[in-house]
Amino acid sequence: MIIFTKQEKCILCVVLGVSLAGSAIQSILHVKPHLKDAFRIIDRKKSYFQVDINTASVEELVKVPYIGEFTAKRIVRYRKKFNGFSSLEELKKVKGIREKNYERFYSYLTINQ
Amino acid sequence: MKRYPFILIVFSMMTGIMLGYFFSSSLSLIYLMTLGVIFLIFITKNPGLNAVLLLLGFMLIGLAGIEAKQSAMEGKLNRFARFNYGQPVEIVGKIVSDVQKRETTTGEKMSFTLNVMEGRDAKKTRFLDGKVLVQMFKGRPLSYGDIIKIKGKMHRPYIYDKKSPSSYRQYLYFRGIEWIISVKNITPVEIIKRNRGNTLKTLMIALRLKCEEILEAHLSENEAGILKAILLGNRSQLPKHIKGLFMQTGTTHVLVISGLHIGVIISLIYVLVRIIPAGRTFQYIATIIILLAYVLMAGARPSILRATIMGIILLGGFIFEKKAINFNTLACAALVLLLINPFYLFDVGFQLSFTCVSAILFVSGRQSKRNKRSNVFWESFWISLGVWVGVAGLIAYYFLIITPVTVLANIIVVPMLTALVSVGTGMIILGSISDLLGALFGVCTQLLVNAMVGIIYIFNEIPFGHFYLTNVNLWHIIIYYLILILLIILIKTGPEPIDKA
Repeated sequence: MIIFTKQEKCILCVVLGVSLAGSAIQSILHVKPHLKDAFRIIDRKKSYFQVDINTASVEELVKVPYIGEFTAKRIVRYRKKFNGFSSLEELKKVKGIREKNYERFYSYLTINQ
Repeated sequence: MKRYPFILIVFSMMTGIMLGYFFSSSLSLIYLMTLGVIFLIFITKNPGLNAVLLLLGFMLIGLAGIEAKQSAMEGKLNRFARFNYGQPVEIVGKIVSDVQKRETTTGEKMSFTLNVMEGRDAKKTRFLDGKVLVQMFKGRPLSYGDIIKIKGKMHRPYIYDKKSPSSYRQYLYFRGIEWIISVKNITPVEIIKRNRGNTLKTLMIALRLKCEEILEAHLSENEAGILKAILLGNRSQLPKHIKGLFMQTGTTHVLVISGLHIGVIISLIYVLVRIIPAGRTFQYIATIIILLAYVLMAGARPSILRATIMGIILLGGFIFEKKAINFNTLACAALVLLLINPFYLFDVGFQLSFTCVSAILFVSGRQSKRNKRSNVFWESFWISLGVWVGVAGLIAYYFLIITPVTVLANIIVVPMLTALVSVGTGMIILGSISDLLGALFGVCTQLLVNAMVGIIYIFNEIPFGHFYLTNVNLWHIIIYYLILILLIILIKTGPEPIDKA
């Protein structure tokens, strides 16, 4: 029979405890998949700071990750020319904003009606 | 002087560094004066005068250190860069840092430090010596230790926020880098030799990449980004929206490896090392060695180094059965860091780290005198308040923000971080052995990291939890700290707290 020291028993108990907790959480998420969204706070849009693209100034837009000064100026110029944006998707029509760039920063942007 | 000798020594050295930074002086004259002081120390028999001479000697060491650093940066590379400012140049050098990749508006950017060996402009090739930061927008996969030839334009680091007292240019200057080479065109990077770096460092970087892979396998991109910063010291993939949340609640220290993280890591290492059937001394020494390997992996930033030096002193104290953590140990850690790089004195991380630990030592010292069986909540509250008061001036000066919500946020976030570091480390260790165990630990890590961010999010929503300031200058901060020092003196010289135990 294997005899464990107190230290080894303690480590094994912690590993077992965390594994058990992990498997319990996994089972719960498997049975109730809608809990996954509530669980993942970091990836939820609500945790991103929001900038309204129809009212934000160039300075405010520059604070959004992956939006540089040139892009911010182009967004403001487009907004003035077409009386604002009707949807976030419309941002892709701004010169220089491609699908890849849009995917990076759209979570930070919003349109307040 | 008798009780805390290192405090006076550090203050003398800091005075020398500041004198050298703000006023230029001759390096040979400083060396001559240092020799004179050493000679006087040997011939003087008066202990008081000896102590004064010793402090003067350390002041001169600080002065010499900063002057030597500054004159080394004014070398050939600086002249070459100034002469070829904005012109295409060809540079040969060795990569001496980890190659970091990050997403930018124009795509993926690689950045690393290059130890320049040779430079070629339109006229001729010159032998150069010094460090530059390379920013590469397209190129082949590179790694630490590669000797490469690149073609790009040299420029000075940008100052993004002119109002802020600390800038990216200053940050790089304090690390011995004055110039950036931008490699934007499609000229291929020539790899002259591979893996010419330090074997141990190469191994540690490879280990870190492996750990990052495990994190990426079990966590979402944002979660992995946070864990990489907390556990592995890689802040390049930290989600920007999360950074903002932590900043506004004054809990950014959670995202930077510092004393708390190192404390948990030491405990984890020691728990594992105790399995080895050997004497206590061997176990402590093994813990120190593994800790040093971890520091090599996480990068030698001031807060990590400070915590590691204090950790080693603490473990050393266990070996020699002496209480080791006090202001003297803290001053000793500061002395070692300033001897490594005198510019650390002007580093925001260095200043925050040492002010924070000084506040913890002061408040916990008072608390232990006041009540030996105090409530954990109140003890945490007073320490959290003490730390906030201690660093508030520096945070207001550098980041133009005041965050009273920190006091409450830290009471909850700090224990959560302890659990997160433990479970996250477990996930990396077990994930390298078994995918199943990695996944199970991964779910718990996800739960903890999301819960922590959720709590930070709630604290961020509390009204008057943080205020942005518009104008804070150095004088405001000097006055603030003078008042604080006066208060500390008043508390110290006041009646001793009653021991209720």
